[in-house]
Amino acid sequence: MTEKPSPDPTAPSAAPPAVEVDVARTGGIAGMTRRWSAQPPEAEASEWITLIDRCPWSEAGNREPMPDGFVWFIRATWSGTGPLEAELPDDEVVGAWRELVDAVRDWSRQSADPDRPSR
Amino acid sequence: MSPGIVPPYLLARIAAVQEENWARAADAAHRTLAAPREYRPVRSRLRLSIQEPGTLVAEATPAPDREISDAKHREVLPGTRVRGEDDPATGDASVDEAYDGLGATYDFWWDSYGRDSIDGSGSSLLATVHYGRDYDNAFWNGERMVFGDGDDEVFRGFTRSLSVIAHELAHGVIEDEGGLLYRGQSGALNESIADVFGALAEQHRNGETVAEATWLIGEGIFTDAVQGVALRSLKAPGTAYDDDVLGKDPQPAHMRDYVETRDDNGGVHINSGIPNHAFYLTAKALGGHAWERAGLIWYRALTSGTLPSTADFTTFARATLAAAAAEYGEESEEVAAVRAGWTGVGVIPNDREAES
Repeated sequence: MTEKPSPDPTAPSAAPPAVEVDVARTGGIAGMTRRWSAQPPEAEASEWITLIDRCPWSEAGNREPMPDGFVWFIRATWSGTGPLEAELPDDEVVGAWRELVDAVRDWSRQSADPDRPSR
Repeated sequence: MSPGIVPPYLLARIAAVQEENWARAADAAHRTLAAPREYRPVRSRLRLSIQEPGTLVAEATPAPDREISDAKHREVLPGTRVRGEDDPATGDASVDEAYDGLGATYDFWWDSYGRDSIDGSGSSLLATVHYGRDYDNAFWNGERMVFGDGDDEVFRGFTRSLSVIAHELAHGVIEDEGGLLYRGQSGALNESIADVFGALAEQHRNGETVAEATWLIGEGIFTDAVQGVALRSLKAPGTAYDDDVLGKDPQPAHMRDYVETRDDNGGVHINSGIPNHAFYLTAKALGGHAWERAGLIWYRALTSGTLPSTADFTTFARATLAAAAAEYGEESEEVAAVRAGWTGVGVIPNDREAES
């Protein structure tokens, strides 16, 4: 259950996304990279920008990585602003970062083709 | 016994010799090992075995000190302590698998190299299970091993594989020996050494020879939906899985296929395939139990005290060559096997003159 309206697949796709957030989870004992992306429309932009603004972008990624720990890459762009990027060890993906990552993963899951294998 | 001049790993090796004309030395080594050491408090246990029909062998060896905690699906460490040393099984499969796996890994390090736990001085073996919700990973946080349950779509839990448990513990050993920077080639070496000792711990528990072993890391942790047998193969890097969703195992087995990437701290779990395969080639050339000669050489190279934390593949290859020469002699078959292993993956040139 989620409060966010799911993206309407029948909506015209001509307008570029107002906001784009890309998340990659790399490393882990398996060394497998998984990627998620959210490209919400204009109507949801302010809600997403609030999520993005709450993240401490300038304080990210100064620690030595943990053996087999996940490493996250998070990148946000929206109209008129250059991309924000952060590289984070898994245990720093809490609070505002976690909310942003969860929102991207939810968005990505909801917009996925239901026929596509889900793994 | 006060700290002896003959180190315990050597005594353990002599004690393990089966030849008849070494019987006295083996017996003496057993007794020396069994004598109490007073320089530190140790947990110890009496091990009984029947080596020849009618010959009961009793030896006192140090014992592990395990502690398993349950994170109860939160991402908070350490969680609640649920099983300590000598406590009975809990009935929770993850808790009991972690406990048994740490015990088997402890035995591997002690029996093979005379190493008493992660720090060589009987440090506690700490693990947390049920970390996070659908958490697809196992890692070493500098103090303890942490295991997720998996999401049941790709992974069905990490404690069911001894090679995974032993891999995590090996990260602790590597760190204790000065560490290898977890990025680029030194990071891939860190990963490879953890894989090597992860595989060896499993082979040691199963009593397998080089030829009998699977050489897989993480066999059995994928769900049936995944087309793959394990996370990695030391015998054939790049062949552990080939799945329509996960893609193909990306590990190279040769320097010509080294992968440059920003992901995974510079591909530490990818390029580890190269030193992994060098170890396999060395072990295959020597035959028998891989932990005895090939494993000892890798262990000596790791614990020589001269390996820089920024070591690249070539630096580590030279350290293994030096270790093999010191242990078995410059002209030994062991040195030849190590050299062939590293030339086989393109880390050192295929010309003896060129590398000296």
